[in-house]
Amino acid sequence: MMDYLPIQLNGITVYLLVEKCVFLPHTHTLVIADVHLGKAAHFRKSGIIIPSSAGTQRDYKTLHHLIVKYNPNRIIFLGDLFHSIANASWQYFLEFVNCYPWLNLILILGNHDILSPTHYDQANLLTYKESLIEDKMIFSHAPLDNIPYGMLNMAGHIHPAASLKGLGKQSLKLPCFHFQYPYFLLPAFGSLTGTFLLPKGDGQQFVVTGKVVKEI
Amino acid sequence: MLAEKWFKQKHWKPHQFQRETWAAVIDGESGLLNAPTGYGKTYALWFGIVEQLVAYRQKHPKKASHGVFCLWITPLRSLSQEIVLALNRVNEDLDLQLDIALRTGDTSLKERKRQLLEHPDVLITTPESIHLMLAQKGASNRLKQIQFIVVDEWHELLGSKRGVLTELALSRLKHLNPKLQIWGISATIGNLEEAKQILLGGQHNGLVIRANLPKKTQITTVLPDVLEKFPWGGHLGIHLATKVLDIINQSGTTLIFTNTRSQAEIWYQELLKLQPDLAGILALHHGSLSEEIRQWVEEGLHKGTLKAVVCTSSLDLGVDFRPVDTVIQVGSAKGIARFLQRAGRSGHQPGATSNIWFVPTHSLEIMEGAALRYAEQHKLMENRIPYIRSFDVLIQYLVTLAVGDGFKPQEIYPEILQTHCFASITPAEFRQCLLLITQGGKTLDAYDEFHKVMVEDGLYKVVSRKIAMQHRLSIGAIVSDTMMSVHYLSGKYIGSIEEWFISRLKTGDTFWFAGKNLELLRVKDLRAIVKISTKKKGLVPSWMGGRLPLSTHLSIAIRHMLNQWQDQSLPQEPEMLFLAPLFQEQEKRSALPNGNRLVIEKTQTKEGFHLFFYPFEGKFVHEGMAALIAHRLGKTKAYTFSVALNDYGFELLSDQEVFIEEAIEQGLLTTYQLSQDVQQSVNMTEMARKRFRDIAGIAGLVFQGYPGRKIKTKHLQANSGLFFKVFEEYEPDNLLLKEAYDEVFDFQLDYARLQAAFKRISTQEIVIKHTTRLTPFAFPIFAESFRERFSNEALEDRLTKIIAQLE
Repeated sequence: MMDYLPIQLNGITVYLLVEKCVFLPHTHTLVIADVHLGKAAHFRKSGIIIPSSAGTQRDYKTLHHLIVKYNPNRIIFLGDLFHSIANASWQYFLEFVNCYPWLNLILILGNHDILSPTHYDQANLLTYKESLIEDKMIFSHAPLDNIPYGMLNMAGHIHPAASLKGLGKQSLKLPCFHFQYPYFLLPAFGSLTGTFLLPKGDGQQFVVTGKVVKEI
Repeated sequence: MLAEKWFKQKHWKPHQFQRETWAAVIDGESGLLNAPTGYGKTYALWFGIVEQLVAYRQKHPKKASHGVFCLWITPLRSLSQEIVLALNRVNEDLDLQLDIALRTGDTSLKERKRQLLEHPDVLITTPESIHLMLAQKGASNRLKQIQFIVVDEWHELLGSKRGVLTELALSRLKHLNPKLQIWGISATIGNLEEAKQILLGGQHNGLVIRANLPKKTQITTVLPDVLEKFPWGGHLGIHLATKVLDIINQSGTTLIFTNTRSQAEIWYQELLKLQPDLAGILALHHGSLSEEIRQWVEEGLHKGTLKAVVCTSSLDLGVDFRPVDTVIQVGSAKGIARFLQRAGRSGHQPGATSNIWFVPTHSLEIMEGAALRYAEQHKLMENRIPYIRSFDVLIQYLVTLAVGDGFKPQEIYPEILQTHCFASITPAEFRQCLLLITQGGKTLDAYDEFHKVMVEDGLYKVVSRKIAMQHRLSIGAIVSDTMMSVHYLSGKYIGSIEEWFISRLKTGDTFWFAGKNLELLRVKDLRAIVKISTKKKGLVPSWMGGRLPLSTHLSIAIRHMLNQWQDQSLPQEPEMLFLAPLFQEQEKRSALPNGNRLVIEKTQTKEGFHLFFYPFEGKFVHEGMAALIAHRLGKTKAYTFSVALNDYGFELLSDQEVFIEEAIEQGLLTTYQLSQDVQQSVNMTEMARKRFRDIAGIAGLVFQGYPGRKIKTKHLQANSGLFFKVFEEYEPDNLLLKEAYDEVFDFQLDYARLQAAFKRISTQEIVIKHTTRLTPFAFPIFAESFRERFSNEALEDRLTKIIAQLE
């Protein structure tokens, strides 16, 4: 079974990965949205009972695995990398970063990214306030208004999910990539995130099950 | 004695049970008083307490040593108000100069401060408010002054987690003052003795005093003119609206009870449409309407200015409305206690007869009128099943104590072991609870900063003011959906509706609410702004709930009526005689089910092969039975079943023929390996996930935010489904997770009842009929719009299948 689905976006080949992110082979770039690192730790610091390892272990494991598998030059995080104000679990991110000194890390700041610039410097993260424009692609956290003709906006923030209805009144809700020109929305990467049911409308949706990516 | 004096003043004569009660109170006893509303149960206890209070004050004259003498706990705020009035009446008539105060969620900060300083003699409050008191610094010193506790409407609290909150609060108060006297007041339920035990806790004996007053209840079923024109299925009962109007017009004031809020809205519109001159004297009352509207309706009922009120369980309890002389129940009341409670809302003057009319919504339901009368005459009464091992409430309680004066586990553990709910908690389980609140469960994380309860010198306490405040805001055991408040343009508040209903509407859509057709103008934050629409059509919000199953005892009564019908030498009830043609039709097409035989019908239609079963055990048990049968059939051959059910029976529909005779011979209906088969057959995970919603809310996992304040809590919000997923994956032995599964087993599947049903069936004659047409018993089940599909496939397989179907 293929663990990615290649599609064409604006003439560029894009791999939709079962790991709920995107690989751009021509620039060797991983694009990852809404990781929400440190979420469990933030909850726990506020006295909310949740297993400390929830999300964290799995998300880092997936990140390591992706780097080994696709050997990227850089990672673009489309915002909401860290869930909230600083907590000790930032250390895990620094440890992760230290494993790959050659890797360029870019963060487009999202509404959750409220850490101080020193934190980002520490982690060698190059930050952009609103967007990063490359060729015909605009990377941003939330989808932007007024995208110029011919450009494509790759964004996160929404945490899109699709609803599938099968025979016998069965239904399933799955995270998805949502493409409706000029927007290409990524599912949230973090395993400790919720989803937002986005109607397909005139667009295209690609659901992710963890084992397979399929257009519906 | 003060009582004698007061009754003489009023020219009243006390009831025997009142004399007994105050004598027992003065003797220092604890116990449970079983008396109907309107017969002076409040005074029965109050005079005993007053006598004690006056004596106590004389013995301890120093003002400084005074604390609150008596806590009076009620489940409802409106009831609290009524108690204040009643107690103050005596207070003023006898010039006792007692300070009787109210403490609920609505009590102003100023009044709360006054109460802290002046220590009212009697504090009327709710279970949640006591926990709030426990969460204050200096709580122990204040609360140990309490000498007396009354728990009003204990039967209402008993079967809920609010009952568990009460048990825990009492366990603490008893420890603070070992001489504490505790009295409960309860309507009649099947397990009064147990109710008393639970209230008083381990090692307490106490008395049960029964009023034993003859209460006359007149139960009449509203019958349609012609049986043939009455529908075989349905839930609304609107066909009988003109007959209901006749009853309203011939009565003083009428309460019309419906089972759901949407049904109440629909009936209200229908009655107004049929008789427009009711405008202004017909009102609507349900839990989603604003306090202001509800109070206006309640006042109208007191004053007798309203002719009729369409309501839901929102008027089940509470204050008596003297002008009400007639009660109408639309649709099955689902239980005997519930039905009689509603009947009791009319004619509460001593000696008066309660009049209740039962309005069936479909033909077979007419039987329930006769069954209810039988149950009333033979005093069949349901038990209230108490919750046990509610770790969510325990965790909340431990944090409450930690927010207050702090606690020592070695002191609290023996206390909670004395409660019914936590009697079986092992030291290991208790340690797990402590671990959860101090470390957030097991953790091996090097960078962990879990912060909730700290331990200093063996004292468990909350240090952070922020955590303390968050916790105080989430004390309680009622978890509700996210609600959206509905306002007019002027800002006037009408009521609240579940967010998910509003979110499905577009601006310009209209919906019926508070008896009016409203147009949605816009939604901002959690506010829906509306204006009155002139359109005739609109959606009716369908609220969750209203899916109560038929109670065990009402099921027994219905099976009894069917048995009695089969013995034609016995006199028959009017409802049954009216249904005779329908029963004959059933006999003709199949066989008439009853309590001694299980009828199974096998039919083929163009939709496929149907199997109908009629155990008369209520929806929940039928759901479990259907799943179990589907599972057992699936062991030998792959089947997919579509299942429909109601309170009388259930249907399995398949595209393949089932050889039912053979299957039964091979043990389809035996009790052998029942528990194991049940667990394998139903989708426990899905059901547990739903249950976990409330558990997560009560245990403080889901923080609802600060009411009315826009403090940033967004980063602390996640839905319970996410928590459920995380616990399943990372901490499958978590106590709260296990609790969710236990609740599914005990309450949702009602395993005890399911097992009893299978035992009963194993002794019964099983009649299998191959029918050519749907029978009168089959039709209402067949017509149920809500269907479930049972298959034992794993989620991954379902997924693959659906994706395959998509291609």
